[in-house]
Amino acid sequence: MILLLALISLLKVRKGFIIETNILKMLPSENENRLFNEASDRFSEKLSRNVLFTISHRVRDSALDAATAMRHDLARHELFKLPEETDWFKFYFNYRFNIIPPQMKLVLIDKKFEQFRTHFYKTLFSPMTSIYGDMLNKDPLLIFPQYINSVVQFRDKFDYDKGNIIIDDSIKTTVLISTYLEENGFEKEVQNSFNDFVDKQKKKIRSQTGANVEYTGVVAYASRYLDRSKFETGFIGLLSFSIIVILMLFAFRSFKCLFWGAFPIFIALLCGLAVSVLVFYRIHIISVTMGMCLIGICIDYSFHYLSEYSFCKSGWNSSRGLINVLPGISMGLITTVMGYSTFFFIPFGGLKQIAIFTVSGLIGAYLTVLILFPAVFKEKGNYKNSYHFFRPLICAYFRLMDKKMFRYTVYFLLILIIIAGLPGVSFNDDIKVFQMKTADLDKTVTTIKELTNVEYDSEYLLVKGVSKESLLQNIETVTEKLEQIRVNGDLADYQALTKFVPSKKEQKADHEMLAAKVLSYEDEMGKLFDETGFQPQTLEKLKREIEESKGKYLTIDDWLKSSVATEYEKLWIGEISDTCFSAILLSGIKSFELLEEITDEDQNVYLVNNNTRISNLLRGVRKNLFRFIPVLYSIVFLVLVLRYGFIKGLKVFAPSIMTLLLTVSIYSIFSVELNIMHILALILVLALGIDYSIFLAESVANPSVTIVAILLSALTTIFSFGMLSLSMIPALSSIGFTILIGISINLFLSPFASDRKKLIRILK
Amino acid sequence: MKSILFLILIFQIIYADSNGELFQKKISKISNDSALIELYEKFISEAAFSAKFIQTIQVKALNKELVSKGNMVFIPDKGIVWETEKPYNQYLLITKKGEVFEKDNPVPVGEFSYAKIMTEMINSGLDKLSGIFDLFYSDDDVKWLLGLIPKKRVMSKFISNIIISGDRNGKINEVTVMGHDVKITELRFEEHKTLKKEELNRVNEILKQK
Repeated sequence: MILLLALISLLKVRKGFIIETNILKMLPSENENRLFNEASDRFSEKLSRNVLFTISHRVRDSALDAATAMRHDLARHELFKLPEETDWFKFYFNYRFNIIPPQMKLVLIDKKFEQFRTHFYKTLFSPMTSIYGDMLNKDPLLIFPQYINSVVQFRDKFDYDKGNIIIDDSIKTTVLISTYLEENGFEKEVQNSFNDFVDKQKKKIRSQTGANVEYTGVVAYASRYLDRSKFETGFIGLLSFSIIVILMLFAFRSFKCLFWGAFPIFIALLCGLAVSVLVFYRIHIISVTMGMCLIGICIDYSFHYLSEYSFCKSGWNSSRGLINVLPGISMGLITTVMGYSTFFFIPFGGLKQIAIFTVSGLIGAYLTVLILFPAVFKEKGNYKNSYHFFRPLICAYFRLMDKKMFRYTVYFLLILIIIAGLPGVSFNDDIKVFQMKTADLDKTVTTIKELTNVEYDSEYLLVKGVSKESLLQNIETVTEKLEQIRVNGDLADYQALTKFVPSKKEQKADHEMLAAKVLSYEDEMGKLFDETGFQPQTLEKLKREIEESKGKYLTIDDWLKSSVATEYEKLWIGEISDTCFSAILLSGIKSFELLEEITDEDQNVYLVNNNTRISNLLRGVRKNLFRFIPVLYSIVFLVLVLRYGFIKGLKVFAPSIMTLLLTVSIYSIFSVELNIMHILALILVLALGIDYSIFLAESVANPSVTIVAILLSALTTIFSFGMLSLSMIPALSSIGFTILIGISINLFLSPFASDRKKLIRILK
Repeated sequence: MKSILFLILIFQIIYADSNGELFQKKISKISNDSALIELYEKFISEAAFSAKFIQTIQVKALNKELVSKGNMVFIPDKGIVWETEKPYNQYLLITKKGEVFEKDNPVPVGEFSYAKIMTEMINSGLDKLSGIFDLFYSDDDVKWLLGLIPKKRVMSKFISNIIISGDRNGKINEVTVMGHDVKITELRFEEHKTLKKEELNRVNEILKQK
């Protein structure tokens, strides 16, 4: 069985099992918009390929030299696609009669020639005209430069050279090099290769030119996430395991107990991994990190059996020993599985993975103890143990607990904490609380934003169409509305595919509009050209070229093949299930209501608003979970009442409910706003903590042994999750810290559930 | 702010009686050139004024020069009104942020794409100017000449140099923009007048709306 599991895991991992580092994949998606979700995923993947390097030096020439060296290496590296210097003229010039810039369209629409004349003069007498020079011969109406100015926002404070943007300030010159990864930036191999390249480049450029290289891009964040998670997974796993080893050696003083006691951990991890790789194509790195806490939970079953085995004085019978611990560990398994099962009802893919991993692992560990331990621990060896060390401590605690004064003082203090904290409980459902702190990477982003003054929001629109042409027409419908919103000041800017490739319908209309104006007002045009000094043949040539360009429309496919598309190609998402998708980037959104109006009116448009959508979703789930907690606690209470009767059931249950109230109150007192991860952790606190009361209640034969086992179990859980509370990943830290507090309280309170007098008698 | 004028001037291109000696002495450190600092301070401390302008653009493709005429009003810390009267009517408002508007249009027009940078440049003083251009300066008892050679590659592709000339009172009389082999634009200012109060209020009101 073990071999089979190992084989499954190995085969699957060798076949290309993928660790997911995209944090968005941990988050919920909306089933009703499957196609839009898929398009959104593809767009995220495209964005993950963008990388921006900044090279700065106080001496301009040194910065430029460093940028040249960097470009050279980027161009030679197989991981990167470096945009060529965009030759807009070469690609767009021949389409100029079909792609009329917006301000010129307004003039062409007007039936009177006077408007056209004024526009013509304004264009011609603009100070910029002089620098177009020969362009006037080729394009007397200057349509092409007007179009380019409307499409590409050349910024005055920038200098442009060889595809680089150069920004000078009073301290230094910064060169921005925009490049693209050939592959998905969320892939581990891509991240490794990227990090390797960047490390070498930073050192090389620094030593050769003294310039400083920084970078940003999704790949940098994803890589940081992976590195951190890998470190934490190893750290938590290693530390948990080390603590278990120390505790086991200390408690049982036997290498046999250590080896076989730890064996269920191995089986649990193997089962968790095998089932996860069978169920999921990709497993999220956060699931793996939190899965490491399984070590701290599944060891409980070993502790109970080994305590029974080690601490029993005489007449050891392995089957009898199993019967003694079976009700306790079975109830423990049931409640823990119940707790983790709630993760299935939360619309977070990552939580389902955690649940599958942990539940499979726990069942594996439980079955290992059940099947293997009675056979392995048939004979009782002549080992020493540390029962005599635990006994006086436990005895002292129970004696203290038996004193009314102490008990009432504890009750009073606990109630005081609850009264002080509970009314002030507050919540925070903002998705931003789950974002890992990456100060150095954020600093680069902030610097670039300050330098360029360009920032697109994380919200964007997705547009679909049954064909490429229909998609482009749908985008044009949307951009008309967006333009209105922009003019009214509720949107700073937007970037849509149709800016670069208008629909055929639009191109045809543009061409007809221009041809009508030039041909219908032939005399006026001739007079205008003559007045301004054009050669006599210029108008004839213009008319001929307009005629020849009829029907020669720019298509998405042509555009995608050209170098002008490199920077904006991401706007074209592609085809999914015979539907074409494109994204519209937005910046400076002031009114989401207006955007939502567009999406409400048009079923071809979808607003991807991850921050708000997920924050709202989190709020909804958190509220539902908060309502679910009383239901879950009631079910557990009912099970306990059925098993132990009302009074004993209440006693077993009381520590758990007190733990819940106290944990929440402590957070409130320290002004910590609760998020959904805290709530989920509270469910786990119930699932794990109730075990201690159950074990005590179930332990009829050797309650003192059970207490030691509980103490050991609780310590491993506290340490495992305690490590998690140190995580730099806020979601994990929230869970870890809550369980750390909750289990500690639960450990302190669970003796309230026991028959203290009987225990003191036995311990004596 | 006054420096917006500088900006406009530079782009509303020029003329210069290219004094060959001008470009022989580069200003390496502005703080060392007291004459230039004095001139600049005079320029930016001037009160609101108006002047007539004549812009002449020379384009190879045309067999005529493109000549336009109009009136310019400059109000410190508020902006500039650039009113072309011939051969067409256009009323442009350039705010102190460097945005350029047509009189009845709330959306900025893009024809003076360098207006913003020039505004920033001039508002930030001569130091900023020297970050974008190599500066050259000469003067005599009657006039001064300021030569600018663009450092930025994108600008230097088209413009070889810019020469601004003026009188000893800080007034600018001519701006010339030179291409690599030809003079491309010349802008002359005449009839400088201090603005009357009523006119000042009227223009202020218009600029305030932008």
